[in-house]
Amino acid sequence: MTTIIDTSIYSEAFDNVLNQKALSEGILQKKQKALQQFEQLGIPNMKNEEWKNTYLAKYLKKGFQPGLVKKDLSKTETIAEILPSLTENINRIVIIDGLFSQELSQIHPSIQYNIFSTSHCWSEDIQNANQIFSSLTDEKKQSLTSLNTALSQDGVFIEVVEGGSAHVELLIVQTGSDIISMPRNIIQVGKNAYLNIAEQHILIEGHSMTNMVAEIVMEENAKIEWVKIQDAGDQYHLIDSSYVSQKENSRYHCTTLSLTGDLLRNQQYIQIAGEQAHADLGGIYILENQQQADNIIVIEHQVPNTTSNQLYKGILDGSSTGVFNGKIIVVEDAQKTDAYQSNKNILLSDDAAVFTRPQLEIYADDVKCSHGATSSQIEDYESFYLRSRGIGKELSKALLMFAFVADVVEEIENTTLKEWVKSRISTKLKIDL
Amino acid sequence: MLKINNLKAGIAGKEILKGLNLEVNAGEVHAIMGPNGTGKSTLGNVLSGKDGYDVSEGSALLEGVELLELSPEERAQLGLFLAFQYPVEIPGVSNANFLKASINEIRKSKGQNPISAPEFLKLLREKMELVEMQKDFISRSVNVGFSGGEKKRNEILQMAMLNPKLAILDETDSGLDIDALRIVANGVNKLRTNDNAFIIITHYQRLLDYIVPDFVHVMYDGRIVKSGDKSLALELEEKGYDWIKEEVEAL
Ligand SMILES: Nc1ncnc2c1ncn2[C@@H]1O[C@H](COP(=O)(O)OP(=O)(O)OP(=O)(O)O)[C@@H](O)[C@H]1O
Ligand SMILES: [Mg+2]
Repeated sequence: MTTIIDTSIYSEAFDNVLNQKALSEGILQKKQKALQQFEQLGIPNMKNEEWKNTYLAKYLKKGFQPGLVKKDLSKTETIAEILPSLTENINRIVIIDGLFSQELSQIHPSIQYNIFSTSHCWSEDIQNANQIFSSLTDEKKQSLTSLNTALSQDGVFIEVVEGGSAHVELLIVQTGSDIISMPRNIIQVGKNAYLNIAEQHILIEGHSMTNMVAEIVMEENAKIEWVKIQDAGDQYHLIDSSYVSQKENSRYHCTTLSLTGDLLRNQQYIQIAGEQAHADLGGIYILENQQQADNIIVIEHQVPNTTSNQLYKGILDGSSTGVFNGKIIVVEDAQKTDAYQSNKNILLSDDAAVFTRPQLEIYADDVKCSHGATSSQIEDYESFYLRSRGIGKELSKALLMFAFVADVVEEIENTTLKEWVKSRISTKLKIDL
Repeated sequence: MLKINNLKAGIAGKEILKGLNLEVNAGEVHAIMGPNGTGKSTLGNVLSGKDGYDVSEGSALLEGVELLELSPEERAQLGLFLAFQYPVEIPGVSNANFLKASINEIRKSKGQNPISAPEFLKLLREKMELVEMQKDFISRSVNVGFSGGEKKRNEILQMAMLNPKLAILDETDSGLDIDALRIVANGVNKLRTNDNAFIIITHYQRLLDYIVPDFVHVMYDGRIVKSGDKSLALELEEKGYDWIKEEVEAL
């Protein structure tokens, strides 16, 4: 099953990328170090625990290569037409093939936040961004993240200043080139500050792969609500890795909705490093055909009195695959940790498969950790109730599927984000009420 | 309206309905009583088309149409309604959306257009009043977190909204307090017309003080073994079922 992939193409790509832009010595060093780390780690294969059920080489063999992305302004107009309509007062950030699009982004000036392209931070030496860059990812030794660190050319830096708030729409657009795009995002949410992000992916044509990384630093009492909608069609491939560091009393809530894609892999590495901080991770994947969605979560409770909650629900049809790896680490002194994890799936077809692996590494004695996983079908007696009200078999099934994932949606506090997720699920399930 | 002839049905290899006959005409209310486990809920389920039952013999015609060959939704679309003994919870789907889906699916089956929003709201408001239901129930998820009595009242709301020809109420009175019982009974009484009919499955004569039945039947061992008017219910209340069992066994 394992394929050896020649990594020399990555080194070559690296030289090209570096030649492009004057980078400060610090950034350059981080990138060089990351390249070395990547070369050591290699492309993950199925012998790697975290990739046991994901045959990455199969997707790479479709022709995706690392390389230098060049800005192609000729496509701007076509892309502009495809983008969803603008919502007032929301900052729109458009990343095309891994490059920040100045033309299509729309940022409202404010003293509450700063939004720059990552490349701007690198060339202009924006200190806080550059300090965060690679600081959370380095030690995790994820080879694709190292690759992103080395080869990324751009992305977005969002800083919400102390007490400020920002609403952001993040559009990850892929034109369909054979180059694996590597957006690199850096997020810093200051004390008592709030950020909400509505993220979605758009594929213009052909097929595409995105290897996106975000480093997220949350100060005391900061709050993030992030919704990621992955519905760019079955020619889309995504590896999305988020590295989060949380200080006292901060709240991180991320909900991922995986609807279409050949491979949608979500990796969340959360360090809860301040007391009373809480991390909430929700996920819904509704899959069919050959689609695969992975959710890899590692939550590290590093101090006492912190909480986390993982709630993932999947509905799988056709010969689709779902992978859930949820790891909870509670270090020795992190007493009174309260960590909950649940992964529930409905399998609609015999060929669909789900691989669920809860992992608990608990080194403290006074903690509450619970995890559960179930795999079920839609119950006949439930379906009968709806049908006895005149609702046809298909719509009954769809409504019950909606009901199955509803608790994940209900956890979203922001009503705009919640309604957005609801409507995307309804559309997916063909519920038209 | 409904004509059940020699209905035999079972589940998991066990025969439960053993040749049941019943005729219900438009404008009538029939009560079915009988000891636990004699097949009352089974009758409701088989008529409504629940999966898993084997019907080995007999027929059930609703206005001349054979119900037993139809899907549950087709039966509902024809005007059959079953108020469940144990209503199902549907998280994330509001009562309003559920009712709208239901009404529109029924309309679609008749080639009608979906109900307009104002028309729907008007109807809903009117029927909510009928069952004295608080406004916030409209936006709450179907039956989620409803008390036992609220679930039953919600069944009556659904019935009122769908305006069926024949409604079967399976122990809708169980677990209701006096006020709720009155509300449910009131709802049924207001919905009674010369064109529809009700089958009310109950264990308690009390309900029949509120909803006065035209006929009372006793079901025993998968059959209707005795029928009478409302005085039969009073007699059962007084004497229990032993005398009926004895009568049946004497035959
Ligand atoms: N799935 C099943 N498998 C086996 N037996 C069943 C099944 N469902 C019902 N039965 C049996 O069928 C018989 C009739 O059940 P039913 O629920 O119709 O009774 P009932 O008259 O409604 O009783 P109650 O007054 O307690 O509600 C019972 O003996 C019951 O155990
Ligand atoms: Mg019963």
